[in-house]
Amino acid sequence: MRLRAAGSWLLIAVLAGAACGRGGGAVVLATTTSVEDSGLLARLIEAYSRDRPGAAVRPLAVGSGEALELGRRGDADILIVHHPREEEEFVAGGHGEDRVPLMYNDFVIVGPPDDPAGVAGTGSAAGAFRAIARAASPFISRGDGSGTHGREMDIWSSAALVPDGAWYVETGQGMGPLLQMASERRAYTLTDRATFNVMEPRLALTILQDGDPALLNIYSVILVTTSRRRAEARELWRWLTSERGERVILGHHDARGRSLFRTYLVAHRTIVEARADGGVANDDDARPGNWSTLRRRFLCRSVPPQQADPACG
Amino acid sequence: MNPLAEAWKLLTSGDLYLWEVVLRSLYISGTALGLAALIGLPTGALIGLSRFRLKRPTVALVNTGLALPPVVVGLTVYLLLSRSGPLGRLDVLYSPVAMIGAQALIAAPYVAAISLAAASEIPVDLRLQARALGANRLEAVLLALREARASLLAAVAAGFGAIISEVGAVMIVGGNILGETRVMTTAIVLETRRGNFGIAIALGVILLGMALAINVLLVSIGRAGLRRPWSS
Repeated sequence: MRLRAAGSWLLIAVLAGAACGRGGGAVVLATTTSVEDSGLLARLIEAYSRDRPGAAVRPLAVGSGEALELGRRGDADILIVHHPREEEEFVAGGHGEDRVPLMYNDFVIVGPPDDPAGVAGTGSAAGAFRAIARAASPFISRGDGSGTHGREMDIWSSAALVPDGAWYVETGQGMGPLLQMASERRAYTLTDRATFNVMEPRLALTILQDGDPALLNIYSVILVTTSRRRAEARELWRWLTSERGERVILGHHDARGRSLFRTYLVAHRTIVEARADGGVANDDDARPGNWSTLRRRFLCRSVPPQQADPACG
Repeated sequence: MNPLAEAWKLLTSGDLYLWEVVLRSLYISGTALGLAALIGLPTGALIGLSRFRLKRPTVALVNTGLALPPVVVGLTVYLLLSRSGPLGRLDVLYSPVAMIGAQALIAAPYVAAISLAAASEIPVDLRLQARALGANRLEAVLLALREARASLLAAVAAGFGAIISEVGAVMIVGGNILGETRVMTTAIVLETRRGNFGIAIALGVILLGMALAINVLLVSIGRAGLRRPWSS
């Protein structure tokens, strides 16, 4: 009988402890599966915990679509996502603020090394998709409203195609599991370069098309307005957009020593400094017009070798 | 529209996506259960009815099957079926066949362990009596099993309950592919993640209904079983 009573008290204590732990000041960072699968998320959390001991961050790697949903419901405090159209809607709807480009890399089209659909010679993302559709070669889509899925849909639109047929398969999983599936089924897919580089040794896939400006992949960090931990979230935002944060991001390499994400140290310093000047309320920076100026400066300074935007001058 | 209203609408309007997923779950789990019963019932029952030197450790081994984590079964099946694995040439990974196989492996120990327990409950005298009345060995065994048929049904029901609500193994070996390997549990995970709570709730209601139905069945078998035909 005494043992049973002790057991009950222990159970109550554990539950109470668990409930307390959840309350706390842990900032919920919702981000994409690509940020996690590439290993960057773990590195960011670790570095932040070292710089700010005592600051608790709870990372959730879902998809951009779901991360934005979490933001709308107030279940996340800060987001790192890569779905520009939905991000703009999110901010316009008043759910987010201080949306700033954090880092970028590109999407690539991967497939079986023997390339049955002849993607390698097409020269563009839309061309590659057209070749795959024409050959009815197996293609696997995220099908989950993520940033990658959004970009894939954009490319299908630009190729004036609606993918349909037994060759086109939608799976509701993250980028990592999808790549494994594509490798097993010898299928084509669209993926971000970071996740692919990290998983490459275990996959029977190669990059068949890249370098198209339509494949540029910019990740933004956004603060959630309905967050209950605004102060802590802003702390994390400041750290991420600081030089320290950017060095951590740049320092994240794959097994061959390649940087998986690139950043642009100066472009968004203007926004950061403007805000640090005590709420100058310079919402000019957040207006669509200046966003594209920012994006252009962002592109021109740190463009991968294959891309040369004539607008850079 | 709030999620509950949306769920109701989906349930009553014959939504194609919803019912396709439900039917596929029933097909995969039903087939797996059939295989599991085929393997588990005779194995468990015969072990329970027999007496042999290694019976105790054998019974312990079968009962460990009840503690086997389904997701570990999924991992094992995945490693077996992947291209770099021994059965890779079959090319069945990410298909319903792989899911049926994994679920059969999960359910079989359940069915075996519970049939074993049920068979152990049958009084030894019953078979002796049957033999005395002229039945041969096989007829005696079948008669004994007939007496315990309610418990054997419970074994099958328990196996079904275990696999219909399982999500890890079917996600790993199936891949949650729309129109091919998406079942109720994996669909609920995806739709919850996408924020489509209406359909997630609708699927959850159906899944809950099935689980409750199985429980009711088990309870009624249990109650009926209390009136043992041979103890009067």
